[in-house]
Amino acid sequence: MNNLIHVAVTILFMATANGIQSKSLVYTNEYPDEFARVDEDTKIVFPRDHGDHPKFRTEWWYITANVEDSKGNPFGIQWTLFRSALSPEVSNDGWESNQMWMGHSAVTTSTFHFFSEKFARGGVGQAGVNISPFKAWIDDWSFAGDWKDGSLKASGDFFSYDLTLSSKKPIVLHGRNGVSQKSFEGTKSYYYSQPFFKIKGSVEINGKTHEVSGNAWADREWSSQIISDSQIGWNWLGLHLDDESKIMIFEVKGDDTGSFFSGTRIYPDGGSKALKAKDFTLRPINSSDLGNKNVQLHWEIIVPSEKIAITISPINPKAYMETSIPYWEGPVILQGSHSGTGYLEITM
Amino acid sequence: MRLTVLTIFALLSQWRKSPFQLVLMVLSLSIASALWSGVSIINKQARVSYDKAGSLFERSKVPLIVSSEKNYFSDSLFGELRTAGILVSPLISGSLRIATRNYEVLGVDLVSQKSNYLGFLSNSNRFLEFIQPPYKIIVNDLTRKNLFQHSLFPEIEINNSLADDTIIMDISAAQNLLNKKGLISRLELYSPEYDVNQSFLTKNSLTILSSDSGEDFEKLTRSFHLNLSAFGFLSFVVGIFIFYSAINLAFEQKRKIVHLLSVIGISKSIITVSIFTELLLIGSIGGILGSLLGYFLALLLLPDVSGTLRGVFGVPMKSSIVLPWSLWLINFIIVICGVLAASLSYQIKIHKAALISRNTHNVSVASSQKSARLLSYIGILILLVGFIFFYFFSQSLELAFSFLGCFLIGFTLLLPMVLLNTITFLSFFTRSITAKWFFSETKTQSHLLNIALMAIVLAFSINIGVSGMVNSFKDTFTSWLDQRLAAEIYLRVPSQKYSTNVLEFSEANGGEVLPIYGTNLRVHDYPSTIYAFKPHATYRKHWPLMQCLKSCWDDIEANNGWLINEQLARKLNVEIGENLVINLPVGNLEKKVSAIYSDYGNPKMQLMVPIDFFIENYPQLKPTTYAVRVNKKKINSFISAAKMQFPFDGSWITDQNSVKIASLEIFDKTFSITNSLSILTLIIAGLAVFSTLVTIGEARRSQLAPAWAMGITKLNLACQEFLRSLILAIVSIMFAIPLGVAISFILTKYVNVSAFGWELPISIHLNDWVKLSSITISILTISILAPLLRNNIKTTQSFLRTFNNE
Repeated sequence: MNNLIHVAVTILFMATANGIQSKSLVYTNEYPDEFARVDEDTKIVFPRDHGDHPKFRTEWWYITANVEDSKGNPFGIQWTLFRSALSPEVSNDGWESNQMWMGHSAVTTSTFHFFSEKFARGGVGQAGVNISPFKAWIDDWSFAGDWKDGSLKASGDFFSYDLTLSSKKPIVLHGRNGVSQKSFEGTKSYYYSQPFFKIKGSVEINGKTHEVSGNAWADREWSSQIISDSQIGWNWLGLHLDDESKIMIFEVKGDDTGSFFSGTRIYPDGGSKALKAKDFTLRPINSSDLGNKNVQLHWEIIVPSEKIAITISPINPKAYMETSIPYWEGPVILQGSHSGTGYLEITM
Repeated sequence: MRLTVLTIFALLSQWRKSPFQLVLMVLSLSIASALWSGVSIINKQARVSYDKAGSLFERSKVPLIVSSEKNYFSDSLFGELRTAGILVSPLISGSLRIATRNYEVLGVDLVSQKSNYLGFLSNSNRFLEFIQPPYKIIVNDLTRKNLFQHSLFPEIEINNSLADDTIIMDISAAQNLLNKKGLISRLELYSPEYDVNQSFLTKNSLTILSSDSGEDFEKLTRSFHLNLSAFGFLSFVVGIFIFYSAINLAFEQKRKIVHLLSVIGISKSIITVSIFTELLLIGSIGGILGSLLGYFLALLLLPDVSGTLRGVFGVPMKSSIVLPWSLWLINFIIVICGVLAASLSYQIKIHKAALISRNTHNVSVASSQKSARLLSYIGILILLVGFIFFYFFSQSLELAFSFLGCFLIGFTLLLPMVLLNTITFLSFFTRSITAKWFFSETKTQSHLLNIALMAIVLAFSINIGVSGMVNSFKDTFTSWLDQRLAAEIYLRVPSQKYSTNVLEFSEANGGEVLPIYGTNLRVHDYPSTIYAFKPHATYRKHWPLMQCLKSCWDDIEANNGWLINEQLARKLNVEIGENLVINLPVGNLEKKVSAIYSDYGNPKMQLMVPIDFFIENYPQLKPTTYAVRVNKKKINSFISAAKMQFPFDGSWITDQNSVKIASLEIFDKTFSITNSLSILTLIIAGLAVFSTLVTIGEARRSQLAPAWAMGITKLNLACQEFLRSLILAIVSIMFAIPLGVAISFILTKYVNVSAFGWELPISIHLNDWVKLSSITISILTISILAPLLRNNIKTTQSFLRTFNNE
């Protein structure tokens, strides 16, 4: 259930000049009754729901990975595909398709952060998602496989990666049976993850190839109205703990109503437990100066019931995605009761 | 103040006495400004047109993938290429008839467009309105007006940089409107050409149109623009010559009244201010009239410019003129500045109290010699500057034109000296007093006519020069066409699948088939084209080789030598016999350059290789165009039989003659604007002679009156005046001929090479000179006779009045 703010980007992905104007389309519901709604009675079914849901306003396929080369140097990998419907009626016929696609990819090391962005229209083969065999793609970037074994490819200026994914563990549903609440007003999304992917392959940076391996986290999420009018932004964390367990926590920031917190504790065997606001604390420790912006990149997480008390810090504070609508997204390391790695996303 | 106003009125009232002169002066002013503003408008219009063509269709910057067989191909290839990592963006274009008009529809996909098309990416609302129903379209104002009565397009955005009758819209809307669902016309290619999988292209019958045409396009448009600018400049120079002569001569008429005004006590400053005001007034009228005339002149010449633009660049030009107010203003300011500059000498004279001298037309031979000498010195100096340009010539088109300008003006300034010396030389052969007087008066007249005659020299030499270049070009082009189009019949098969049938048919009907096909490649990083040729006697006999080694055809056919075009040889600076490395799919190959062929009209660099070697490198390519050699007597029967057998589109088969006619038509259109402008300058220069003679008429009468009083008849005097002017005009024309030849030489040898990359052999057309001389002399005869009839032999009283005034 990653990256809500990108809905804005997908809906009005060209809105660079008047960027925040896009907020009105994300946070309010322009077609309140015409897009499909998240219904708790509708169960998530595979492989059907790996595919796209054009009746919903927006959705994404999101992979982040923490890998290392043979010398132990850390790398962060991001691969994202967003879909957005410009209008509620489903039309996916050639150029008349109202489905818009956007891709982001990035490679982060302790010294470099390279990223790339792509756009496409639906209906003409440039971007889309096949259910069987599963493949999500935009141009020559792809995430393919059966969610047990798969591949991940992308490239941009100065970087490219070609990686394989594998996992024997089950997919994890967040919230209540995969329906994840996002605000006090009750806005919600369908949200599931595969946080157990083992990933390996080659990453090329500035012409130099690095053989890498590590952990990857795949997210799937779709909805027609995720956050409410009073909410303004987003912090998300997906963490791989050293005992093979995982934890996902997010905070949707409200302007007057305060933040909405939620999360999922995931055990090494694939079992999971939903976390509510009262179950944990997420607190910024200090902020980092990114030129003209102050971003909170150091956090403390305490989950008393799980005996987790950790601090997280970025591998490279400059992992800033200067895409159509900019945000911070990068690999982090954790210390405290547990060590490990993970990914942090902060919208501004 | 009142006194100043009265003085102005007094000065203006003088025009009532000679309204014709006022008209002439305003007219000459208008013409000077009209030529300049007309050419400026055309220039601006042309620049707008090809800039738009260049930017809108990105033809100048981006390579295109097109079908080698059809106008449209499946848009699924777009997705296939994109997923293969090739960055492309689709376009569909087509013609749409709405009511009685045809519109050019261009459908684009803003999402995959790499360039910020029409500034869309900065405005999300505009973007969304464009890509979603009801699909906003973009047209210019005129097209919107034409579309207004049709409800086909509910949302219209105006962009006046678009050509008339062009509609830009989203690709989905365009596909529906053109009834071409699932089809596109071309793909813009942003990835490097070599990234595109050749077998994918072959499998789908696609081909890449290299962006090299972009470089050439820019180069050609630059040269076209410079060509127009140069003509604009020359027109302006001619205009200013007329204008200067008119304004000075006309104001000589005012000496009497100025003298009178100063005698009755009007101060010099009031007289100066009044003359200044009067000048401004005349300048304003002339400027406004000139701008209007310029507008109409531009309208008149626009079809020619349009023809040139279409001929050379394939750029559609707008049929209506959009004139920014700034252009009007600039033209107006130029005219006013010109008025003030040209009248400066006169103003100075007033200040120097030279008013007492009654008439400066009564020049002495000594003073005319002095001024002629001074002009010669200036001319020589300008020529020297020109030769300095020439020394630093290199390949610069701008310098080539600068040299041309210096040469033209410097040489023209030598004219007064040449005229005086010629007359002196002629007078050696005369004994009688009357004849001596005749030549002495001719010298005086030459001084008065100097400026007008210089205008004639400029206009005439430009005409000789330009027609020389155009004819050289045409001769070369025609003989080159004869060589290049050696085959009797040319075929373009619509699809490769018919090729075998067509070839079998051709051979069965006695034809020998020579395939014509090639592809793009880079030679030393320059975009070039490689063509295959089937070794055949036709090439040995007809191919237009400029230079070749002794055994060149044997070498080339055995694949031991390169056959390259002139453009490639010049670009790489290689000569025959030298080794040249070319990177081909089979690897880097080094061979000697065996022959260089001329390739006029082609902006691309090119090489030709034997067909077997070509197939080795490009096995996937197949020809669809063929030259067929058949017995000349069988041409018609072959064509009709082929048309019967293969019901393709009518233009798939053409005979040699039709191709030649079409090529020559394009050629003629290419130079139509140049021809129109040069003839116009000639007519204007004739007008300069006319206006000068009208203006100096009175002064000449006072010169001639004593001779009349001594018994020479009016008719005799008029004949003498006519002869004098005619002799001066003929000497000027004779002087202009070598100048014209030199201009032709510079244009052909240097300007052309700089602009197009090929050198032409110069051919001299004497009949052209005779024709041009006859036209010029006819214009001049009318220009000389008309004022004579009006002034000199009008009435006896006019001569008597001359003495009365004395």
